[in-house]
Amino acid sequence: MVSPHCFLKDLSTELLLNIFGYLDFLDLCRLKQTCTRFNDIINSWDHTLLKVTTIVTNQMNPKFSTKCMHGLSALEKMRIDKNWTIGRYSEKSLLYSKKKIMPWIHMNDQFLWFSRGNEILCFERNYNGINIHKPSFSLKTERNEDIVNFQLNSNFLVCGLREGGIWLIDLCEKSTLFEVEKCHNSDVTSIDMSQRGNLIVSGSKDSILKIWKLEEDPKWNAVESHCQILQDLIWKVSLSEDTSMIAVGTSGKTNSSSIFIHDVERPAHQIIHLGSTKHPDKGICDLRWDGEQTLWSCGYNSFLKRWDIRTGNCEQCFTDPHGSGLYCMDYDYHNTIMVGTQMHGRVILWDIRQTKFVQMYFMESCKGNRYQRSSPIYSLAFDAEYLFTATDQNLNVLDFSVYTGAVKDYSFCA
Amino acid sequence: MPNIKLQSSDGETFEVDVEIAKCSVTIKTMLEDLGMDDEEEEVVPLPNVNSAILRKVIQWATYHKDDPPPPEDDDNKEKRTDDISSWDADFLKVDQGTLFELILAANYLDIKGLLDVTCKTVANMIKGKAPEEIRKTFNIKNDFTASEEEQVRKENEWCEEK
Repeated sequence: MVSPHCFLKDLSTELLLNIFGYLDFLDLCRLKQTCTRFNDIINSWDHTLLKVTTIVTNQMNPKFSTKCMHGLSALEKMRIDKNWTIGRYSEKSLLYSKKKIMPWIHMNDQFLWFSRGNEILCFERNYNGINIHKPSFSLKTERNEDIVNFQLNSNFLVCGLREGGIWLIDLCEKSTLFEVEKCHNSDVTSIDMSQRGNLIVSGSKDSILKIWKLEEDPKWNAVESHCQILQDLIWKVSLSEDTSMIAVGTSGKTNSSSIFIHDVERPAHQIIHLGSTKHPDKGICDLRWDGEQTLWSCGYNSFLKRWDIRTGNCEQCFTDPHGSGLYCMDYDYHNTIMVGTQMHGRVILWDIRQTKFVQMYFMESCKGNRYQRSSPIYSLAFDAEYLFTATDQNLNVLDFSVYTGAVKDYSFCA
Repeated sequence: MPNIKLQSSDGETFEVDVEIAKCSVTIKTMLEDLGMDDEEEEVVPLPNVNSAILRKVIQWATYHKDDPPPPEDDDNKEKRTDDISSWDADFLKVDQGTLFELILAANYLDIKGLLDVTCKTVANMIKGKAPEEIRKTFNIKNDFTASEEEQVRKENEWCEEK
């Protein structure tokens, strides 16, 4: 052969990356130690060249990456992804409440909002999870009514309250705009708000779905624009991203279906209901839109399902290995879903490309009595490095960016 | 089928079926852009590829001429290196210099299938080796200072644990 003078080092960085892309994390760490050039290339690697796909750390969808506290390099993605998969993390209880509560959380790249009892708190995120000592704001409801659920956009935060009230907060002023009593005859179990514009939807245990328009005339007020009576208790309402549709999850007690899609413009018009009458999905706890045609659902029957809204078919179905009810979910809009279950402070991680779950995490550093561990996960939120969970007495954070620590691997439990 | 002439950097000319030559996106674009007619006896110069490598490339392209076009890179698909066909594996039993020159040629000629399989082969040669073994295999000069090397080693120590 006539080519004695061509070596690996003669390849351009681009071509080297083409080769390195096939290596796993351990091989890359070893390769880094061979010479300065490879060390530099791998350290400054642009994640778009990564050929090995990661799950939680993929940061592919902007809706997810804007929720992440840090953008990660390719190598960090692989390292931290391994931690998620094998169950290496450090866990901390951030807040503890003596009284049992039904909290709800919401997170973006900078802040974490947390509702407990009649109070809503907002904390700045940091390396410890959140800055517990100095909430960036905290507000209480005027009539001591408890918060059941809340949602926010860039301007407002809206809460659904225990005795049927709705509470609107101005996020710039950090103050109450209005609190309306008895909009519903029972708990406002779920509330949603358009990311732009002025639309609010609320669902309640009184089986009524309401649509509101926010108006400033001259004071901010929510004007009821529609009221739709459903047959069953409403557990979840969710607006599609383009705000053209509302997905409603109900108890499914009297009706054979428990997920309904309504047209926002003509709410009386039900676009479709999901699920077969033969095997109805009773008791939907959480719903999540994935684009305009796909909806994720989870609930008491221990199924996580992906629905095609156009056909009404269930496209994918995942089952909790322990058969528990599934209370809440968070999604990276790419390939990772985490679900909070009904018991033992347990969270399940699914890679939606495979049917078997990847890992389970049990909330263990909970203060309080020993029965604490039987708590449901009422709400959860994750980014590429952190998982926040809210149980009946604790707000916990699991940090997966750690380098050392015990491995809690439950992936064999099936 | 009409043929086309390809000229290597060292002046050797190869007569190849046009369809086979077109597995190189570079050649395909060149033919289209230059409007080269099948009738004409024109020679395509390839100044970046020597005759030994060009011969190998043509051999590879001839064997793979009926392959379906390689799939687009898909983020959702796990990249594997254990799916090299036995023919390709035999074909790539060459010295390292030839392998790297094939990578350079596949890149220059824009033949995705050949680039993928050669890169996978190199990746397989790296896999599972300790840093010193990698250096030895690829004749890499350790250019870290003693303290730098210690630093890098420390940084990566933990990843050797489970």
